[in-house]
Amino acid sequence: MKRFFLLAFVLGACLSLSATTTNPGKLTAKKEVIEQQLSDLNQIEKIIKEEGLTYDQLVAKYPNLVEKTQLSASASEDGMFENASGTPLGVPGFWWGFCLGWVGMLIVYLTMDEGSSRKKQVMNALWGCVIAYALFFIVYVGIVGASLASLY
Amino acid sequence: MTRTISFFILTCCFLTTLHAQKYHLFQAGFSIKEKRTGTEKSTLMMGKVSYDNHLNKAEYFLSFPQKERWVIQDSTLHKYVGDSLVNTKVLGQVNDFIMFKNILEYKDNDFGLSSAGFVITSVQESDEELIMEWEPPSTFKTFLKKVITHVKDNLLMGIVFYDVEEKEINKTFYENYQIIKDLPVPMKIVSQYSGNEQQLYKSITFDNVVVE
Repeated sequence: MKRFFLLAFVLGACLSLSATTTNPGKLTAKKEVIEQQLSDLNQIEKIIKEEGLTYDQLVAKYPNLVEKTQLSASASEDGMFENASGTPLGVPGFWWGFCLGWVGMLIVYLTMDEGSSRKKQVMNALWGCVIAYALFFIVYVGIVGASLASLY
Repeated sequence: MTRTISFFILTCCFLTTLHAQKYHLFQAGFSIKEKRTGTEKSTLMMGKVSYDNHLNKAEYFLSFPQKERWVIQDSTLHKYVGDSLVNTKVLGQVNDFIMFKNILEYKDNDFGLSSAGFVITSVQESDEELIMEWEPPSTFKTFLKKVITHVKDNLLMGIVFYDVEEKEINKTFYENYQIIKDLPVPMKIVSQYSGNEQQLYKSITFDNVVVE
């Protein structure tokens, strides 16, 4: 019986180790998933480079491809820089402060580059922090008040 | 002896600074492709880009989907059609600048993780390829569990960020390196951002790269 448990333990350890181990092959597979998602756009890029088409000409000549990809007719800075909007993990500064208090403020401060955006997000985190503490105080007073009222 | 060591350290610092400031201008043809799940909308932007590290200024000369010139400096975007200013907008921190900066100030192959306080916890090595696992400094541990980097021939090939639940939140791969002057420049960068409900797939390619 002991041997059985020992064998089961070793097998389990091996399986969990192989599940968390990353290798170049696994990373290549992840990259291929991204490439696959962008394959239609790669095709459009190739067409534009080879045929020198404008957007309107592309729509006229390859309507199915444009429709399939829902290709935008205009370039938007929102798309271009959205991932760079500054806050850690894209979570607004307010929520960092609200959920994690001063630690959240510190995270926002340390993970953003110096500039007006960081100042704004740290201030948002401060407000989040203040509101969280205010809410806690209100709830705390409410609970204590209700408890005291029930005593008398 | 102390003087000799001090002199050596100062010389190293000076040489590192010199190397970091060796190039300040990055110019290239580019294409940016994006696909977002949920909305299933996609964008394709093509044109030329010029980034000046000294001025911290980038200019995008878009040729597709429409002809526009975007000038970004001090987190402000100015859009021009021809010579006419058509829009001005304040942006947040601009990540693409960091990408250009990383290329121009190439120092290491770890995405700057070591200088940010990340510590290597495990290394797998095979055929000149390294897979390294990094533990974040305590500041990041509330939202980041670990980071995996893939290095081949001493060049960063990929990086994956995991949140505290070990879910991949971002993976980025660097391909087709070309040595421009003495800088290794990835001519293709593909990435995936995983949100709670959406996935964003992105690819950036460069051609005719010039660094000065």
